Parts: sequence; structure tokens; C-alpha cells
Amino acid sequence: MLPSDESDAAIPDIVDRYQGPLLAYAQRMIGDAHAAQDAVQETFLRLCRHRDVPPSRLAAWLFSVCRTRVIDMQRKHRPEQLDTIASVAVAPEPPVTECLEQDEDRDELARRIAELTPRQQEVLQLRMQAGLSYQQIAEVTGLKPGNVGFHLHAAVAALRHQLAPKTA
Amino acid sequence: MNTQPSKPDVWDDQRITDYVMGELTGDTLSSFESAVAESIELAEAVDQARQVHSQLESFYESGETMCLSEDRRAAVLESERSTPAPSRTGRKIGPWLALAAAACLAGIGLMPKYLPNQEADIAVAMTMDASVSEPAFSVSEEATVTVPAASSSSVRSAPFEQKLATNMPMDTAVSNRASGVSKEARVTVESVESSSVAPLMIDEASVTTGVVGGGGFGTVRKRLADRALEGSPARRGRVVLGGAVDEESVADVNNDGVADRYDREMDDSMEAELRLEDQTAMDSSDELALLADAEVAGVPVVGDFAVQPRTRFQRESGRQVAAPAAPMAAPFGRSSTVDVLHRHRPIVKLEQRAGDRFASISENQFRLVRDAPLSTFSIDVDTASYAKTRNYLLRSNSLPPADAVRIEELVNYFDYAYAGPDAGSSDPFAAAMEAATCPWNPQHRLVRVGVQAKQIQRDQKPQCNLVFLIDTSGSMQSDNKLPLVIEGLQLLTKRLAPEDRVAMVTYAGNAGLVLDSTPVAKKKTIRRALDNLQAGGSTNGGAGIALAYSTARDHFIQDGVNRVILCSDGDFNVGVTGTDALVEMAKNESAGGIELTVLGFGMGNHNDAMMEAISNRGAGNYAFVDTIAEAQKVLADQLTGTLVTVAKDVKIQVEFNPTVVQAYRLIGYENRLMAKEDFNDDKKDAGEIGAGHRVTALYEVVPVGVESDAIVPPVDDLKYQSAAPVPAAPESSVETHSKETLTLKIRYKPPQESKSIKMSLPLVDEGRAFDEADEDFRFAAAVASFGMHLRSSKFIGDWKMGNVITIAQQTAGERPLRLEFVEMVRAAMRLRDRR
Repeated sequence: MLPSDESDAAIPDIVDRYQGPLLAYAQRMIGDAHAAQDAVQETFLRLCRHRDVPPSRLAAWLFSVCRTRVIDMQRKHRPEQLDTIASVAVAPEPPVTECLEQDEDRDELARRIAELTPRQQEVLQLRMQAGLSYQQIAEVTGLKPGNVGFHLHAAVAALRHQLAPKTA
Repeated sequence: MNTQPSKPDVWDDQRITDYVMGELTGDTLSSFESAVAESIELAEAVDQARQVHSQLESFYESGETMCLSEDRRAAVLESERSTPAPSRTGRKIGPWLALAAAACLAGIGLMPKYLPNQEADIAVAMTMDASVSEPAFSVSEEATVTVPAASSSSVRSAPFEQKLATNMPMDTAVSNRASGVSKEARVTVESVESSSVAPLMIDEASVTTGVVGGGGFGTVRKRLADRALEGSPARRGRVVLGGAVDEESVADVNNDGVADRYDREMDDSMEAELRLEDQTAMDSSDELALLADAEVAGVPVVGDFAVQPRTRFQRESGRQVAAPAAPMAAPFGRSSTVDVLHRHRPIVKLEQRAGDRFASISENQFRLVRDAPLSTFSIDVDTASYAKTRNYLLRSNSLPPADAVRIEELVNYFDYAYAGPDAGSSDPFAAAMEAATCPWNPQHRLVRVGVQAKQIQRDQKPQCNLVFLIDTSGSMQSDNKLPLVIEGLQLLTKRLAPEDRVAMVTYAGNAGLVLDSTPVAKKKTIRRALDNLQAGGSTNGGAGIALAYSTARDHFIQDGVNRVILCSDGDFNVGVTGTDALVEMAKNESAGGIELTVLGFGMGNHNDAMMEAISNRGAGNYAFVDTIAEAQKVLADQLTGTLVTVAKDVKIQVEFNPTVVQAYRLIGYENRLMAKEDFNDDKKDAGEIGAGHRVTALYEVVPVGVESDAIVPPVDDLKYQSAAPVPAAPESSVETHSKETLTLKIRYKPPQESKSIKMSLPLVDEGRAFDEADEDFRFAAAVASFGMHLRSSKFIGDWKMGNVITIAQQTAGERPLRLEFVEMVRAAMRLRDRR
């Protein structure tokens, strides 16, 4: 990949594309919307200074920078309302398209996800919300790719008991 | 759907999740797939994991996308401008930038589901004013696609989501809603240069965009191939528009789509079906629980599934002879225990094995072409056997008795994309054939004959004079009978035109006209009559049907549809009506212009054999309604097909070419076979075909030169007759036709005529491999082979149910009925393993 290509990825595009998942990710970890905004903003600012990030590594790069930012901030900044982590970050407001009866299922699912271990939640979110591959998740979290799969599988296995009957 | 907790040891396998997440590749992938094909537990676990995955997917994707606050975003962009990137000139974006800016379109960034590790990672690079973001499109397979809000606060593009294919019927149906909408919201891209990009369908493109400035939306830079919008089958590919496209691209959203956030055009029936199917599925799990409770509580459960006291009828030259099991069966069907359960819940489970009567079927064997070059049968558009089979597998948790499985009805249950007759054609249907390798015996060829009847638009439907003949006897009391009849007829009535007429006759003890022929416009009257129906008393089908026919005659509409619709569980146990008498009556009335539709409800004392006889002898059509979804299909979605007959006495005769084909076997249609002479005999009845109906017949063909164990060893050549089996034909003729596998001949009569018309069509086998055959072909083959499994056919060879699942999954797409089929196969596999 040529360096000129990667620099062509315009910042506004990258922001549009990643702000949602990054904010959700940060907010789940830090539990505070403003802090999450700060972390994500800082992540993008760093990107402006590192325009040489190869496109293939961009997603992993953004999330790992964001993760580091969040961890840094957590050291000073204690999460106060743990509840909001689940309700704000994990249970986004359903769009109007959703059937009303899905709300309950949704809330229930949000609760069940919140019961997972933090590691499982993180891996699940990076996979399902940010769309990262195992390899990318491994880069972000420092886990081995196989270990990413292990945590994901544990999450899916834990959730299946609650989810399966509903569709059956 | 499977709800049983899988064994923990299966769930120890991390590959389940890896597989569902699409992270398995190469050898790991193939070894896992073969493991899945081998193990039902593993297949179930995968299925469950898929459901979880899909729910998580919609969960994470359905929310509002969070955005960076305006000031923070501005700060980022400001910082970017102050640190100029080394090389920004590589792209020829000038004109498009200008164009896009002029158009002031709202940015639509679709989040890729799985970011590929390539260039495609990066959204298309286009610098624009900070208040406008550029479109970067990325749609990935099986993905929920989200359009996040546009960056500028003044420009807002509401999120929308589209759940593309997953393996859950629920999601599937959701994506099915799309068809109408996708036409509206024209998100079009003309060409996708990157080779990694395959056209993918955007099922539901209801997009809302905000507009800044009144200039309207700009030019469409690249048009998505139309087929992508129309629903291309290539849904496995990944499309990254913008991202992976070599050149910059601008995808505009046409104004048309703006207001259409919701599937305004969504087929409401589909939605209904979806909801109902879901409901049905839930019921069935409740049912299981209830049943289990009953057993625990010591309530005697009647009708053990392993022992199936079912009455067998054997047909002998059109007559039915009850086998000895018959007298035992009735008491089971009427067990009070069963009824108690019934009053509370729609349980079909217990009663059904007891009294259902199926005519026995002996599977068609291979026939040598030199002995029998002609194969003749009557068409069958009925699908009742499928609904029943489904009922056994998905609700009763038991394998259906072999005789309940009529393979042709299984195959014909599904929609296939066959071309109908040309608009200007006078033919009531069109036929087409295809041949490919037979999947369960690769030495053999599989030939498909597809017949598609012409469609009749709702507004072209002739005026209808319908008489509902409703069995209100005691046996109709269960929730899946009379209440379903009422609901079904309400659905049907909704689809009728105001000037159509309906009447209602009940029969229970005394037959009665509960509603004289009434124009559909009088909705309330009809509704009230339906609501007042109650079950009670015993059945006198004979008196009821006479009254129904006389009512239909009284209001006969010339050139219209005059039809008696008999809704019953088929238990004519009072009165004199035997099958033959009923069939005779129906045939005579049919000649006088009044047709008969028989709708079978419930199970238990369901006389399938009788209903099948009515349909088989050209006296009418027959459907089995077990759920409201099925009622929707038969009585609403396919109403014109049910009501409007476009051809009757439709017979098929296939002549095989002995220079190409050694032997053949018609799959299914066992009780539709006809003598070869009957083909040209207009006095011999055959099946009718309704508007829009389609019929599929499959032949398994053994080409010349293949040594096959399946073929019965030929008898010795005759001593006193010429050994040459091939009729002496002129040399040239044989030469010309030597490549043809067979010739298809179809005879039919226009509905009101008594003289038949013949069509004929040759088939040349182009040697296609099974994989090269079209999706419908492969799916039909999967269904047929499943039927063969259920019937324990000896011709199935090494072909496993796992193979059936594989093919069906590949060809099911998002069609809920096909996905349900996959569920059925799974259920059958599980039940068989248990046995």
C-alpha cells in the first residue's frame, strides 16, 4: 500500500465512520458521556498527527489509542454511575423502525450483556459494534486472537440461554 | 426452532462462535463444516449461536449512532487542516467534490460490518467543507447496515437499519419486507471496479436524508446495478461502495426515498405471516412445556408418538379398503384427555397420530426405457402433505408416517421463479425443463419439469360466487380448527372485491344456511355470521354439501368463479357420504360450473385420503391449513390461484429417448400416475391448475452406459417377439432427435371446455453439474431428497440429511418458508438420531 493512499483517507470520513463505535466503546468503559467524548476527540486528534497509520491498521489503531486514553482517564476519573454504562452505551435508543414489543427484549438483552465479564463485553462490542476482526481485536486488547475467540464464544454461550427461547 | 439446551460438550467447541463470526478459514473451516454435517448437536449449536449472533447484531446496530459533539469535531478538523497531509493530490476528486458540494447532499456512511484488512478499510477520500460529509458506502454480507447521522448538526440523516440475511426466519422475513421499498429509495451505483466487490442486494433502502439548500440531490455518479436493487442472488459477496471502489464515488440518495422511512410498500401479508409464524413457533414451545407438565402431573397422555395407531387405507382401483387398524383409531382421536388440553391451548400434538388417515404410497421404481418409454401422470398442485409433514416435525416432534409424505407436494409447496406464458399467449401456462447431475447419485441425471400457470391480477379476477361450507361438528372445536376457519375466511373475504358474493352453510346434525349469498360489501353481516359459528353436534357432510351446491347454483355467475369451499377436518362420520359419493357429486357439479375447494383443518380424524381423492379426480383442489400463516398463504396470498382455475384435466406425458436414457424414475406423484392411453383420452380426469400455480416434477434419469444398481435387472428377452425395443423410426428422425433426452407433452382443457389441447417440448441435456443448476433447481432437489429420506427411500444412497441442509441453506436466501424447511430437516435429523 502506498503512503499516499493512506493519507488520502480524509479525517472527516474517518470521523464519520468511527465516531459512533468509538464513542460507544469508550462510554461503556468509562461510563461517562463527556469523558467518552473527550477520549474519542483525543483519539482523532492523535490521528491528525499520525497520518501515516496504514489503512489496514487504522481501525485497530483507533480503538487501541482510544482504549489507552480511556484507561489513562480512568486513573483520574472514577466511573460514578455504573448503570448508565449499560443503559446509555449498550442500550442505544431503538429507532422508530423497531417494533414496540422489541423494547423489552432489548432491555433484557442489555441487562444480560451487562452481566458478562468486562472482558467479554469489550470483545463483544469490538466485534459486533465496531466490526473488528479477531486479529484487530487482539491488537486493541493485547489478547491473542485465539483468546479473543475464546471470550467471544463464552459470551455467545452465556447469552444463548436467554436468547434462544425467544426465537424458538 | 430448536430450544433444547445443547449438550455442554458441544458448546465447549469454540469453533462454533468462530464459524458464526466468519473467522474460520481454509482447512479449519472445511473440517468444521463437515463436523457440522455429521453432528446434529453441533448443527444445532451453530444454529443457536447464529441466532445469538443475529440478535446481538441487530441489538448493536439498531441504536442511534453516537456523534462527536460539534465543537469537538470542529477541533479535530481544524487540527487536521493545520497539519497538512503529505500528499493529497492523488485523487481526481475535483469535479465530484464540486458536484457534491453543490448538491449539498447529506453524508451517508454505512458502517462496514467487518472491516476488511485492505484498502477497503478507508472510506473514500474526499475533502469537503466540514459541514458536509461524503458518502462512503459499505455493505457487507449478512450485515445490519447503519446509516449514522450526518456530521453536521444541520444535516441529519436518520439512522436506518436493514437486517440482511441471517439464518433466522424472523430476520429473514424482515428483510423480505424490502422489495417495495428498495424501488423507491434509489441508492444507485453504476459500477464497482474492485474485483473483490460483488453486487449485493440492498433489500431495504429506506433512507432518510436531510437536505441543506434547495438544490436537490445531485447526479448519481455510479449506479448500483439494477439487479442489486431488485434482489440479486449474489448476496454472499461484499460490497464496499466508496471504500473499495477504485475511483471516488458519489452515491446520491434520490429524493424519492427521503420520506419513505418505512416500508410503506411492505407487503402487509408478509408481515402478518412473519408475525404469525413467530407466534406459531412460540406456541409450539409452550406446547412442549405443557405436555411435559401433563406427564409429570400423571395425566395420562394418549397417543404415544412411538406407537402410531393410525388407520391405513389402501386404495384399490379407486376404492378404499380400511385396513384392520381402523376401528382402534377412532377412540384415540376422541380421547377426553386430549380435549381437555385442547380447550386451553392449540395443541395439535396429541391427537394427530390417532386418527389421520393416509392412503399408502409405494414409491415409484426405475423403469427401463425400452420397456416403458412413456411416463404419464396427472398434475398435482396440492401442498397439503407439506403442511402436515411440517406439523409432525415442528409441532409434534415426531417423524411423519411415510404415507403422509407425498414428495411432489413437498416440492410444490415452494415458490420457484419459472417464467409464465408470454403476455400475448393464449396458453394458460408455460413449461420449461432443466437437467443436471443428480445430487444423491452423481451417475444419474436429475430432470426438472416446471410448469407455470399464468397470473391473474386481482383486478382481473372474475366475479366470485363463493359458498363456504363449514363443518361445525364437535370435532371442529379445537383451536386449530373452527377458530382458524373463521380467521381464514376473514382473511379471504378481505381479499375479495365488494361485488363478489359469499354464502355460508354449516353442517352439524342439521345442515343450515347461516348466511345466504351476500355481497362482500356487506362486511358486517358477513363478519357477524362468521363470529356466530360454533362447534357442536355430529357431522352430516352429505346434507351440508347438497345445500351448499344448491346455494351456489341459486347465485350462479356466468363466466365467474362459482365455488364451494369446504372447511372441515374431513371427518364425515355421520350420514351417508362416502368418498366416492362425494367425489361423484363434486365431479358432476364441476361439469355444471361449480368447483370445489376442500380446506382441511386440524389433525386427528383428518381424512387425508378422501380429500386427496377429491383433488386427484379433478373434482377440485385441496389444501391443508394448520396455522394462520398457512391460511394466509392459501386464502389470501394465493387466493386467485385457489379460486380461479386456468386449466383442468392437466396431464403430463414424458417420452424418453432410448438412445440417451436407459431408465428413469418419477419422483413422487405415485397416486397421480396414469396409464399411457389415458393421456389422449379426454374422458380421463386429471388435476386442475389455478392462476399463478406452479407445478414441478422431477425425474431421476439413468443415462445409457451407466451401470446402476438401482435398476431392476431386466427380465429375459421375449422369445417369440422381436428383441428390438426401439420402434422402427425413419433413420433421419432418429438422427435429428438422438441428442434429446426426452419430450414433454402436456394436455389440458380450458376450464369450460371438454376438448383437450396438447403442448410439447423436447429437452436436450447440456450436461450441467448440480452446482451449475439454478437455485430453484437445487432447492427443489433438496426438498425431494428430504421427502425420500422421510419415506426411507432406497434410492437415496449415501445422501444424508446433512447434505439436504447444506443445499437448502445455500439456496434458501431469506425466504422464510425455505428457512423453515431447513428447520424441518434439522428436526427430522434429530428425531431420527433419537430413534
